[in-house]
Amino acid sequence: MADHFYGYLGRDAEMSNILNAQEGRIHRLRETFVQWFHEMFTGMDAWGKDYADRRWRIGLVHVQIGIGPQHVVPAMAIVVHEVGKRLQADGKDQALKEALSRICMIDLAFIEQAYVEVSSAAVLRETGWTEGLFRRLIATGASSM
Amino acid sequence: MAINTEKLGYILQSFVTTTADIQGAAVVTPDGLPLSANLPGGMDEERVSAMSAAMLSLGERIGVELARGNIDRISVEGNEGFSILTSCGEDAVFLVLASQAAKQGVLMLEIKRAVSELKKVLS
Repeated sequence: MADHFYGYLGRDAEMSNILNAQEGRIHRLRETFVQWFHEMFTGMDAWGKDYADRRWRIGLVHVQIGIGPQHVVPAMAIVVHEVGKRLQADGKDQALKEALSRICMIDLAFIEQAYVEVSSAAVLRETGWTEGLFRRLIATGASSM
Repeated sequence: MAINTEKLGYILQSFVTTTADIQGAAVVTPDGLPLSANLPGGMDEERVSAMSAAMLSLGERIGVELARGNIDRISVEGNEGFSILTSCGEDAVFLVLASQAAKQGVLMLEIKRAVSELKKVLS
């Protein structure tokens, strides 16, 4: 799965630059990916707080190294697609594919929610703006679009 | 005690009409909500309030980051005039719009006086 995942990401020039921006980064990310994929099956703490925190941490790292939702969503689609292919090849039940697809979508939601919240928190930290002011600026800006 | 918005409005109106070359003024919360405003026609009070609070807050943050101490005011100078933001304590930001012809010394003194009056109403 990691081969398929990083093979796909490596074909995107922008993503490839991010993955290889620092020596050893792609290896660290690959290790995290393998761990993340494994945890989807084990659920860590029965898909509880630790599981959610780990996904949150992935979202934080994405913000720190510049991986945006435009990269994560199609990459997650690759995971779902490859999982489906493997299950079909192994003659596994369709219900298993649906369950894995569902947990992939839940993970995607966690990671993307973390991305949005970490990004906002970073802006608030750097500017000193209150949350209310930040929301107001977004609302006034959006209303003029 | 409730804020006397009528008195805030009176202070602003008096400030704008009696100080030379002042084109408008507003008092807003740190969240960017207008408390009272006397702005030139065509200016969006909500937007101006949000921008004012954002600017002062960012300026204060820059003051800390660049070791400039507490920020007294932020001044934006364009070829059409000045926008001056002054903190009115923890709960408000005072925005003043002045034309290019405004004398800076007079302007700062008048702002200082107005802030003193506004603080009394806001405390």
